[in-house]
Amino acid sequence: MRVIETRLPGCDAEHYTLRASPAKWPSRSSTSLVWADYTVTRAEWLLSTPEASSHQLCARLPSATSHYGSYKVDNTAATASGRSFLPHSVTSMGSRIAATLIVLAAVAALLWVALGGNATDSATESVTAAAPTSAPAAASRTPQTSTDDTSAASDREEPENVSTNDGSDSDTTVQKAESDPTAVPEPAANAPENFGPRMDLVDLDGWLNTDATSIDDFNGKVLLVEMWTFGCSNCKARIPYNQGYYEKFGDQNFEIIGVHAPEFSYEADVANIENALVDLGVTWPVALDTDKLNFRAWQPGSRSFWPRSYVIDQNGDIRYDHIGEGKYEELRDTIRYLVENPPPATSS
Amino acid sequence: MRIFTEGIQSLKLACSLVLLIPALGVVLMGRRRLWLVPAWIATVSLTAWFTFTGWFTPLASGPGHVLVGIGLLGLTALAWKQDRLSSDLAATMTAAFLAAWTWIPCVGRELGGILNNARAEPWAELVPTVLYFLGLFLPLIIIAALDIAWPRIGELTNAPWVRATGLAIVGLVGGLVAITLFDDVAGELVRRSSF
Repeated sequence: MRVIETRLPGCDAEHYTLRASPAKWPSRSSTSLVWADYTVTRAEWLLSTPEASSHQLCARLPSATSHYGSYKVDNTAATASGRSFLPHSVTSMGSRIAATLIVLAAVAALLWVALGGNATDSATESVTAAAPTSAPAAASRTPQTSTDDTSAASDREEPENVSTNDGSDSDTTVQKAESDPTAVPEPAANAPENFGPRMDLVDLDGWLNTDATSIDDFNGKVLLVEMWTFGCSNCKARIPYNQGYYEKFGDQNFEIIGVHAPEFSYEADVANIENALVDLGVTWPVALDTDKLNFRAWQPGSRSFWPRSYVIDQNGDIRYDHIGEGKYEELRDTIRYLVENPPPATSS
Repeated sequence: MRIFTEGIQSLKLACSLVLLIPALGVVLMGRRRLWLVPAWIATVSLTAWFTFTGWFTPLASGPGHVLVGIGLLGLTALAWKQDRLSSDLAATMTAAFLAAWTWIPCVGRELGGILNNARAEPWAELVPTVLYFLGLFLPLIIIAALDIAWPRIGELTNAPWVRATGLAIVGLVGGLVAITLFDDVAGELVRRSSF
């Protein structure tokens, strides 16, 4: 059953023609057809003008629904047509062609991404392969905090040359540091911003990969605290980098704490977490934050995300805060700066 | 363009499921997709953007969350009964708001760029946020455009039982949110599909 709206000769300006195809009443049991609040009775239908393969009749329609009113067929489950719900203007051939082009372009985009034809995807894949060795190797650079994201692909593929192809300002920043490898920046000028004291990790369901029972057991160390869950692919993409940091700085008063905050119930199962740690090669301490209390406390309000990374200095102050993947070089430089330039101890 | 492609990639992330399940319901509601799909994408984008900027911070839990879930349940019933554009839009936009509010994203490189900058430069991140969701909801756009491009397909996807299925999904989301079980059901779907 298909009902469309047109203005045809024979109906005055205030009336529209209802035309239905195929040219038969929806079903024997139907007593009326309601379209755009206009009820077509069976009698009216039979009196309407059969024309070609359709029936038509003039109907006065409420102006608000003149273009796309709803309709239904009483006492039947006749199939409804989408066409009558579209504005008259979009049923034109031009609109159909435009819609076809949109469909084709969208399908092409989906296929392109599915086949890995984009920079983001390939970069993510290469993180897994190359980061463990290249991230620490690149860490020998002068600490420098850039103001924009630097392509992590260049960080991995060309660890000693951070020149990237995306032309971002950060490249220039890093290249300046690279141009004079003996240059030691002034600590005050390059010191990571201090965001204030870290929060505690409370009401945990335990720890894995450590004998520690509290975050306080790591006081005095540079800490990379990462909110994550093993089911999150973006969190997993960071792990090879963390392995690199751990390998490079692990003997320099540096520690990683993964705060495991499950999104779904199967991620809360300790056995599943333990298996995932083995599979993913996570060897650093993991705090079990099953109820996401700390996940939310560290990220107040509804601004909670996986993954999120904080670097805590030896005094317990947050010196780095980053949401999501990326900025591995900046994170590495922050860690390196802090292990090499411990802040003056505070009385607290 | 990168943010758009990252949005498409997010289709396969478990974290996106809380957005994709009600989106499936909305697209199945049918017949008025030309309005419902843009309304869905706009509402999700704006809600997420307000969250990213820190202008909308209430936690997606507690009485307010439950009330919106109940509200969605009622709006779905209304949409079923009235079968009008206005009621369909109301249910769609409420479902979109609820989905975006409930959503805790797994953050990739590009979305991370938005999130890290959204508080400092909120307006600069509005368009990228919309682009991300245009990528994520690209299948919805395809289905809506199909209605116009090939009317025969529209006729098939606009069958009453398809609409009933869509409304049932949206209503179910409202009901599950109201009893705070939506996350658990989504998680179970993830578990069953990944083990």
